[in-house]
Amino acid sequence: MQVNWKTYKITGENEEGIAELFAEYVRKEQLQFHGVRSALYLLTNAAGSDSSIKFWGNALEHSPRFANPNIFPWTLANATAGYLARQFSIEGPNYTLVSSILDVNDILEIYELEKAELQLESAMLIVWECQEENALTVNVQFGYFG
Amino acid sequence: MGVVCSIADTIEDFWQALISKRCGIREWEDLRTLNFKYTYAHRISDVECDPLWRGFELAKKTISQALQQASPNSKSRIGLFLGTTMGESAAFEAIAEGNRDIAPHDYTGDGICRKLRKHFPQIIMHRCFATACAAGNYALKAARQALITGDIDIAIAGGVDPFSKIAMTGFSRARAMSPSGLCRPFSADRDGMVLGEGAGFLVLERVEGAAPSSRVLATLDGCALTCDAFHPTAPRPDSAGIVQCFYQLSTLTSTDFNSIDWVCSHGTGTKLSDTSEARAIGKTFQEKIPWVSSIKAHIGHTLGAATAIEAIVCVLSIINEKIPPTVNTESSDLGLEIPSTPISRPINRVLNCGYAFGGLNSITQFSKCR
Repeated sequence: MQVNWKTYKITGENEEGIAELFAEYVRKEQLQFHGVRSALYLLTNAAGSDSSIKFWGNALEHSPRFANPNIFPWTLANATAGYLARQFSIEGPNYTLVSSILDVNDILEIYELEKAELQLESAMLIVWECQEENALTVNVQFGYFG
Repeated sequence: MGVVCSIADTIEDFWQALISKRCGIREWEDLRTLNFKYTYAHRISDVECDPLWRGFELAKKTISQALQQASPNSKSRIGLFLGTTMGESAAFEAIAEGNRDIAPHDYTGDGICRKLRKHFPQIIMHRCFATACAAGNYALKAARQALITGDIDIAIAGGVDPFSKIAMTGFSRARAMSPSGLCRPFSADRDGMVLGEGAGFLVLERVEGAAPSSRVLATLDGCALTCDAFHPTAPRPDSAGIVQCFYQLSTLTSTDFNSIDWVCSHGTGTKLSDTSEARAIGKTFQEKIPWVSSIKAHIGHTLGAATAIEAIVCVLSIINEKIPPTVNTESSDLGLEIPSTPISRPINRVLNCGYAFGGLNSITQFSKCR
């Protein structure tokens, strides 16, 4: 199987913004996804951490009663994978793995097993590396399997 | 198996607490002081540890229980499969409060795994699944797969989430919390969820490779995963993603839905989620809807630990031949039969359901070992 891995360096104002920018890049590729026969595998070192810190900071500033509710879903590490699934109607398995060692083989092996098990026709594999010094800059490695 | 939650810190006490309808909810003064709108939660009151490593401590205690019960061969290759929502939420809270010495990357679920591996050196590999309230089922699926492929001899699979002020704030602002402070899954007067904390881990091994001394409690037949791809927090109005998950499981395990004895449901007690889940169950089990029960009224919503602790409930129900009751729910307006008292009957097959923000749907199946 020939897979073209692409890499991006994306900087945004918040985690939602970074996910939106990445989705725009993917959309330009005009890739095909197949509903429940599509899957998404995302491996990250720290997705959700920046939003978690911001959300609690917001709660401390305004009181937990008045914290900005729009930040909360992005405190979850799987928010980015969920967002991308919505953008491309990927209705099969949706993974977010967290690891300090970002080895694409960790998600590749799950995909290979599920491709056969679930007769997947397409999949998105993503390594989402939040930079330690600035969590709002993300190095993305992206592969489409179709 | 091992468990720690608001009502118990051993497997035996946990089962007795469920059957006797014990509920771990309390009002918490610190939440009142911090001006939280809702101040009731299911927290564990006697954990002495570094507050930044509470999740690690809960997981360590639970894994120790599980390993003691299973007594695996000392030469076994052990893998750790851990599900969590936020990892060490208190660390992220501390950073927001001004503690700049904390590196957030160290306190993710992967950070908990790395610390657990130092404590349990027999663990040779780990995977961390940050798939919110479905994370335990993801861990179970990966553990099963690793055993099948022969990468490991023994898997420790489960989930952990310590109490999180971030989650408490978030669910409150998402209007998911119960104003009454009573979680009433599937009840007509349900008004929301109550947050909990805890950990649950199971030791898995291949049945055919199990040591003669092993007591096989149940079999994990398979796990299905789908995604609604619909909304960040709300389920699909037609419940199609959950229904698809049931069918995927049926295909993977070749299971006839009529053979299911009960469904260990997600059952959070929120209007939207319970309605969606009940609709999916109704669509899936067209001939005969099995008993549906939820333990979230007992122990609260333990997020990433939920499906792991509920997997333990599935196994305990098979061993003890009882369906645990759903506290605070006398009847349902959603077409489901919810047991308000324990139901004694042989249990051969149970489904363990967990759904999560991001549209994640997960179902595992446990059966009596033949």
